[in-house]
Amino acid sequence: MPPGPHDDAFLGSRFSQLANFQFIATGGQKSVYRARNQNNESIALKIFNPGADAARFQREIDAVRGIQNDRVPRIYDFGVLSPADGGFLWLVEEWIDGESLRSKIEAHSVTDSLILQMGLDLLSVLADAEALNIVHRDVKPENILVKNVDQTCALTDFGISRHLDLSTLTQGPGGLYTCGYSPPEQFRNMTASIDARVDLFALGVTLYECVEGVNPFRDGAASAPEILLRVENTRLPTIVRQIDASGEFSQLVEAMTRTRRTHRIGSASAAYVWMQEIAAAGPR
Amino acid sequence: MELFLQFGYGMMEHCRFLIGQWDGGVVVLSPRDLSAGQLQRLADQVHGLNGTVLLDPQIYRPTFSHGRLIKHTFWPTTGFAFGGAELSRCLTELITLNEQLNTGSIVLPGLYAERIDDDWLQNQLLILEEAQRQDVAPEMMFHTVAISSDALRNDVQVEVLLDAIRGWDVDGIYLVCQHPNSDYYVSDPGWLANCLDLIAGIRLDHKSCVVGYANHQMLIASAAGASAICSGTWMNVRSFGVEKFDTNNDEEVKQRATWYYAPHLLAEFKVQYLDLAKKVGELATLKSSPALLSPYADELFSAPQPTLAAFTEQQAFRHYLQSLRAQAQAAVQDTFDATVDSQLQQLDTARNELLRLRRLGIVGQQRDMSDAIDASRGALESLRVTRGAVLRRMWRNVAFDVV
Repeated sequence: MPPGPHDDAFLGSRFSQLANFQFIATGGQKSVYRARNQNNESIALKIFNPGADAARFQREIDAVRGIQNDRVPRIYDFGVLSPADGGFLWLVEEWIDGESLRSKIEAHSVTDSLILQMGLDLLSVLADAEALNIVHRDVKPENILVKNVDQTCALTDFGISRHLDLSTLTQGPGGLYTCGYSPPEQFRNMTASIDARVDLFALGVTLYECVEGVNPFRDGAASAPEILLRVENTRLPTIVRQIDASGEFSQLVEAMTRTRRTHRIGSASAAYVWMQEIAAAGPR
Repeated sequence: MELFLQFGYGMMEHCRFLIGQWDGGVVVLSPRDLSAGQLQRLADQVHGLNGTVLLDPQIYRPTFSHGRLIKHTFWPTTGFAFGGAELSRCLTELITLNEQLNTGSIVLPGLYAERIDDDWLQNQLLILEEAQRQDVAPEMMFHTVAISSDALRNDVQVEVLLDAIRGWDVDGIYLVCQHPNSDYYVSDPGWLANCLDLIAGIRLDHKSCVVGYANHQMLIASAAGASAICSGTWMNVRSFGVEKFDTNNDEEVKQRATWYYAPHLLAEFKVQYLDLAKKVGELATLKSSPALLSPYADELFSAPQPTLAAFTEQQAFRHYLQSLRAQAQAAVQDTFDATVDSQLQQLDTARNELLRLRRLGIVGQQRDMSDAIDASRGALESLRVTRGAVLRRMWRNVAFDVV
C-alpha cells in the first residue's frame, strides 16, 4: 500500500522540524513531499513502505550516507514512523531542482554535452560507491536527475531502489530488477556476482539510450521475458553516432555493457578515469 | 609475449644450450622428469647462464603415483587432507625447495579440475591461504589453474573461475588446460575462445598469465595478452593431458620421428616431405625466415636432398624452440587490433599455403594445423567482440607488462 499522501496536519505533527509541505508524487510504495527545514532550505521528504526488512533498509541507508559526492542527494535524517502511523520509513534528503533524465529523453532534449556530463557525473558516483562496496542496483533514466541550475546530474534513490518502486521494477526470483537495464547476473539472482559491474551495465545502457534515442533491449519487445532474453542473448549494438571529440565514448559504453560481467571493464573507477579523458576532449 | 622452456623428456641439454644462446630466459622445471639432485643441478646451471627457473609442482592429482614424482619430499603422502597437516607440510617442503632452486616465483600447486565448482575453488583457496600463512609474499606467488577441456568449454564455469581469480592475491596464474580428446591441435572454437577469454581476464585483473604446455597454435594467446607460453620438445609437453603424471609411460621415446617446423606455415613436416618439396620446386616455401634467428635447420635447405642432411632430432627441437620464441616475441603489436590482425593474417597465410602444398602432396600429416585454423580464427574474432573495447583501452598494460 502506498504510504500517503498525508495531510499537512499529520506531516507537521510527525516532522515538527519541517514546514510548508508540498505533495510532489506518489507511486509504488513511496510518497514524496517538498518541505522547508529550520534553515529555510528546501528538502525532500520521502515516506515509504520498506517491506519486512526495515532493519536492513536502515543499515543500507546508513551506508549510503558514507558516499560523499555532490552527485548524490545528501541524506539529512531518516527513521521509522510508529506502528500506529503505518510503520513507514522516512528520510529527509537534499532537494534537487531538476528534471528526470527520462522526461528529457522523451522530450528529445538530451544534448551531446549533457550526455558527456552525465557519464562523468554518474561514473564519479559509482566509483565512490564502489570504494564503499555499495551497489545501486537500479541505475536508469528515471533515477537520474538533471539539475536545472547547471545541467549536472545526480543519481537518486541510492540504497533504496531494491526496496521500492514496485511499479517499475520486476519482482523475479532474483529480487527486483528493471528489465532492459539490469544485466543477466542480476535477474538470474547470482547474488555473489553482484558488484559495481551491475551498475556499469545499467549506466552503459542508459548512455546508449541517450545517444541513440532508444533502448534496443526494450524497444518493440512484447513482454518482460522477451527483454530478458534480448539482454542475455544479444549484445548492445555499437553506438553509431559519434558525440565526442576523442571517439572513445562508444568504446567505453561497449566496455560497460558486455553481457558477461567478466567481459565488462573491471571497475567503476577505471571507467571513471576513461570518462574523464573523454570529457576532457569535449564533444565532437 | 615470451616463450618459457617447458621441461620434459630430453630437455636438459636444450635448456642449457638455449638459455646460454639467449643469455637469459625461463625454464619451467618438471619434477616428473627430474630427481631432486637433477633439479638442483639444472637450476644452478640455468642461473649460471643468466636464466631463471620456475618449478611446476605437478600435484594435479595428489593420488597419482608416477615413480619419480612421488619420490620428491613435497609430494603428498596421504592424498592431501586439504586444510590439514599434509597440505601444510607439502607447502613447507615446496617453499624450501623453491628457495633452494632460487626460483623467480613460487608456483603453488593446484588440483586438476574436471569442473569448476565450489569444492575445487575452496581447495584452491585453502592452498593459497596456507601459502599466505607460511609468509609467501603475494608478489612471489603464481597459482596453478589446471582444468579439463570440458571445464574450459563451459562459459559459466569460466566466468565463475574469473570471478574467483579476482579475489586471489597472487602475482600471476600458471594456466594449464587439457586439450580436447588429447589432440595436439585444438579444433574446438569454443575451447580456444574461452582459453583466450580466460587469459585476457587474468591479465586485465593485473595478474601475469603463463600458459603451460603449449605449442605454436597458442601464439594467438598474444592477442589476449598472455605473459608467456611454455613449450618443449615432445608433444606431451606441448599440450596438456593429466594422465602423463600418473604413469611412468615415456611413450614419446618409442614414437620418435624428426619433424621440421615451418614457422610461417604453423606446421611441422617429416623430412621425407621436404624431399618431395624439393622435387617439385617448393622447398624454399618451407624455409623459415632468417629473422627468426634459427640456424639449426639450415642444412636441410643446403643439402642436395633434405633427407641426406644431418638434420638431427636435437636440431629439430632447437629449431622449433628458437623459432617459436622469436614468433612469440614478435607476436605482440602496438595495439590490440594490430595484434589480432597480425595473427589472423598469419593463420590465413598458413591456410592458403598449406592448401596449395597439399595439392602437391606435401603434407604435415598430424602436425599440420589446417583443420584447427578456423577455430583459431574464430577465437580471435570472439575475443575482439567480447573484450575488444577493454583490451584496446588497456593494451599497453596488458601486453607489455614484463613477467
